[in-house]
Amino acid sequence: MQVYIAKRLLSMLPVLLLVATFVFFIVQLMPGSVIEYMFGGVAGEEGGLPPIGAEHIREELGLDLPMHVQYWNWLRRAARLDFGDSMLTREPVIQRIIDRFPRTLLLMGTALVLSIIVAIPIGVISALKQYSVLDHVVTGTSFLAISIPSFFVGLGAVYIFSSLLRWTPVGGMAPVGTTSPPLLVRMHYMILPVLVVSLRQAASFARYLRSGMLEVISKQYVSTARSKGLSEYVVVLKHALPNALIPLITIIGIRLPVIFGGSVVIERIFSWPGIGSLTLNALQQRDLTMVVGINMFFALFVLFANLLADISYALVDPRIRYG
Amino acid sequence: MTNESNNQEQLQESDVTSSAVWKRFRKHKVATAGIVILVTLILVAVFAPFIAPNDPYEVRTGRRLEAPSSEFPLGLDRIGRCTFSRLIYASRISLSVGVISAGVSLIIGVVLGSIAGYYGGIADHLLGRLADGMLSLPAIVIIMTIVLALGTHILNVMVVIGVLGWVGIFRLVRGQMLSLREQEFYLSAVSLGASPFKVVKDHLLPNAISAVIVAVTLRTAAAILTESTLSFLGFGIQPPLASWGNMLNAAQNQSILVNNPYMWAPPGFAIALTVLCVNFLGDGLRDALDPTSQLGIKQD
Repeated sequence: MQVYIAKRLLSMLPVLLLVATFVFFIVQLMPGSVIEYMFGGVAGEEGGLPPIGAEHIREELGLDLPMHVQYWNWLRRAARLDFGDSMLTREPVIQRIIDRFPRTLLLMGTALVLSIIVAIPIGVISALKQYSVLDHVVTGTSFLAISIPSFFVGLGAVYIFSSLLRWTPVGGMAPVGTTSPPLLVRMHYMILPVLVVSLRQAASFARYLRSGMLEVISKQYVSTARSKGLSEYVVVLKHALPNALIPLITIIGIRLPVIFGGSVVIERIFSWPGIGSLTLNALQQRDLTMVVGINMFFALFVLFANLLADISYALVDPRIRYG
Repeated sequence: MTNESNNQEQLQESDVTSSAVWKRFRKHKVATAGIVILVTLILVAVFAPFIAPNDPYEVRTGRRLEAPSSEFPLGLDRIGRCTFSRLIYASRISLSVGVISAGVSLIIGVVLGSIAGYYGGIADHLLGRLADGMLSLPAIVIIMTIVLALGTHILNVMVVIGVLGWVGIFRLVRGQMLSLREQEFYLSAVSLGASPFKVVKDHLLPNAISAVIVAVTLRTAAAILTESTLSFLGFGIQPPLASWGNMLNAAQNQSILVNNPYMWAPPGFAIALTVLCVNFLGDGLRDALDPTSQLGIKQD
């Protein structure tokens, strides 16, 4: 196991270097610059360029150096997980990511957990009662879930539940001006975005679990368990379900980039100050170090999450051994 | 069909002649409904100038956010353009971005997948690593980054979405190649001295085509969704061009969201309907082309 983990960690390095190099050079092509943004005006749009001080800032940010020198300087720091400083606020990129990411994790993590909790019973029941009404509803919902854009669901939810019914706040994490609101207030702000994300996920997770269950139920060890006279309850929960969960773990592992990429849209709609909002702002402000840092962070996060998913197979399924 | 004789064996277990495929496809009711709606949408896109009641680009500054009327069925947008006409013209953007992006993914996926599956070894290993790298990034963030860097021109949007969407088709083609290489017709073609290009083109690809068609259809649906998301966030198709996604961009304004739902809800439903129909089409094609497949969303 240790050897396997070490090998996997090593094989991440070329992938990370590839991502780093590609993203570093592609962002240099962006029209406009952070300096134009600082001096008012929208970055990328033509307008009066700042005459005084701009050169000084360029020097300070190291933007006057040749590109390969900039790249090398950045790479040397990145190797120590230091992705440089934000061009706009001059704070370390990694610090801003660390400030923002827990909020995204709170939102997307809660949604992920909720969707798994909802998907398990629904997936199991629709497999056991194939072609029942519930089964058809799950199939239909999962088609809708993959077809309706998340931003439309989000806007629709804000329109109905926040604007018309006034059940939930329009957006944000907490009332303006409060730093540590009580748990119930936090939940009130979280409930709508969490539901929007998790309902869509739950539908597709339930589909995967249903397929997994259908496959497992026809296996001989399930028949054996039944013929031993075990109750249906024990057969399903103890013998069939754990095996049917393996493909679901794979899917969640594969989907992680998509799930966390989705934070860009959800956080924009619900004004959630997480890493998705940070990404959009950084792009709009042409804060290049920030953009590169966020991309690197996402890549690292996903690679580690996939590694964890692979390790967790071994925990769920003792037949899987990594040499 | 150049290799009718090659298919002889498969004909018995699953009839792949076009009439049998069509028969199976028509049994899939939602897929048939999906294709009818899609054809209608394509006609709307093609004949947009004749259907749209007004010029979609004409700005009427004095009549911003005007409510629906007989002249403007869905009212006027933020700067006084006819929402209904924009909705109709936007179908051109969504459909063409979907099809062309999927085409780009198809070409890259088939070429790289064939190379990896046919040659194996170091080529397969390197391409596999590249695919892993692509999948480890949240597609939407990297697509926004690249589109912004290259410029938000519609061609860039199409190409970038396509270029970042090849991994699924690549893995599919590679897998099919690997399993087809175990079969006898492959060995006979190689021993008759056919070149690798010819073996792949004439013998391996035709046998993988069903799975690839299904994958490309689903890719089209995904590309339409990606374009709409990008445009919604303001990093995709830029006004004055109308795309269903950028029409929804206005709804990020709280006042428009609340007071002008007829402005942003129709393009939202249009995206959902289009993508749903393409997904149904893909599902129907899977059942029709590949009846033995167990991977389908529908398992009956």
